[in-house]
Amino acid sequence: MHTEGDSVDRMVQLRFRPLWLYVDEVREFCGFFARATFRDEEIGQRVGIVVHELVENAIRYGDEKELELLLERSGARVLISVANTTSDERVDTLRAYLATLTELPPDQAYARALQNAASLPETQSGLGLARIRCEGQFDLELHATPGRVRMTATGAA
Amino acid sequence: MASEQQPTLVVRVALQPVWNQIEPLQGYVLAASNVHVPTLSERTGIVVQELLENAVKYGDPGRSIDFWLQIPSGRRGVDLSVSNHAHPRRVALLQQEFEAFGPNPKDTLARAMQRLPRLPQGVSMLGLARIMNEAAITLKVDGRLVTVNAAIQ
Amino acid sequence: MSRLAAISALAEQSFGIAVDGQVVRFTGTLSIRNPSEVVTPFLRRVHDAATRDGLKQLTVDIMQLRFMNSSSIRSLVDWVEWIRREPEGKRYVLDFLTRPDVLWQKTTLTAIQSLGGEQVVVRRGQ
Repeated sequence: MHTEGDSVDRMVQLRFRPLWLYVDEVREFCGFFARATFRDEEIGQRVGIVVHELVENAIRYGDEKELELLLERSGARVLISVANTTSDERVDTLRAYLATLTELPPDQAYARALQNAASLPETQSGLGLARIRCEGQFDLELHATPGRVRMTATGAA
Repeated sequence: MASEQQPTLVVRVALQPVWNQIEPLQGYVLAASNVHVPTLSERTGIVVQELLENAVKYGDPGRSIDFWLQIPSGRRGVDLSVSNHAHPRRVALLQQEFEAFGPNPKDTLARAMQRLPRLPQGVSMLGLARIMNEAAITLKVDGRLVTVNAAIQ
Repeated sequence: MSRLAAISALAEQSFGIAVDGQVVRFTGTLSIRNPSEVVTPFLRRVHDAATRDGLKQLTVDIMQLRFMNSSSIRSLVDWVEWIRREPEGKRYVLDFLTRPDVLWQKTTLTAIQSLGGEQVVVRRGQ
């Protein structure tokens, strides 16, 4: 996470209805934006992956009412957060899953998630958050209030 | 976040004044506005492009541009603004342009086209005249901070 | 005619998967909501045809695939799993051709290679 005392600069705020047709556009925009802002191709790709997986999860598992994405910078860190309205049951599931995921280092957790994927129902992959940690190289934090969840991913720029 | 009056879409970006930031943002705005106000999306795209281009071309290269766009719920329209810092000479020129606008946007654009041959190569000064034909625009100046507000309906 | 050659390309708005000889080529951006309904069945047809044709190797060219969401990665995982479950004589190698400058291809394919063992090879294209 970013160091206490670093100011947080909000670079992008997007608020929209969680419709599937936004996912690619949001990923492309945030990826390009990060690449241009940090003048680095890799951070652009990493931000794109993280944004896509967070937004996709919010759309799949949220209640289709509201979604807010923030892209912020704090010192040498990039913070990406996606907040959406959802059921409290979903928040509990997510919290439990995140706890299991973070038991292992990112690459091992991703490998385990890939191994487990084939045993899940066809419509699920269980790979998104593991991918954020491993491929995106971002840490994950969950904050929740009744009916709302915010996933924040933090990584080095 | 959970109010009935929440706008349908909000986009707020602090972008660096570099050319390659414009197209991705315009692309996102176009796609997003096409979902909610398809009859306004093309005009929105034009206004966004022209305002951002002006901000990049004429703004302070060391200060970020603040872009804000909102599609309100309950009414068909797009509201947006672009704020940037600029050299006092540029600010004065912009204020002059606004003051010279006539009541008829088409006439304003025609006049802007007519003056093109008198301008240096690479300068068109058509942007604002073009925007006027797509949106209701106002200018706010606060020292070196310039904000153009646009309402598309 | 080989069964693999008889498989028509999958052409969707944002991506495509085509079979060209012993190469399966992905193009575009694969980020659809339900790849299990579109991509997985297609890859299953490819797998069934490859085993019936008795192939020992199939090249999977993803050099023109700009992005793949995690749901679609599941389809690749399923593919590897189908191969692993075949009797040894019917297994074939998936030879992935990747772009070295695309981050997700490097990370995810490395992880899939660990999953697939000797049934998965990952190469970098030019």
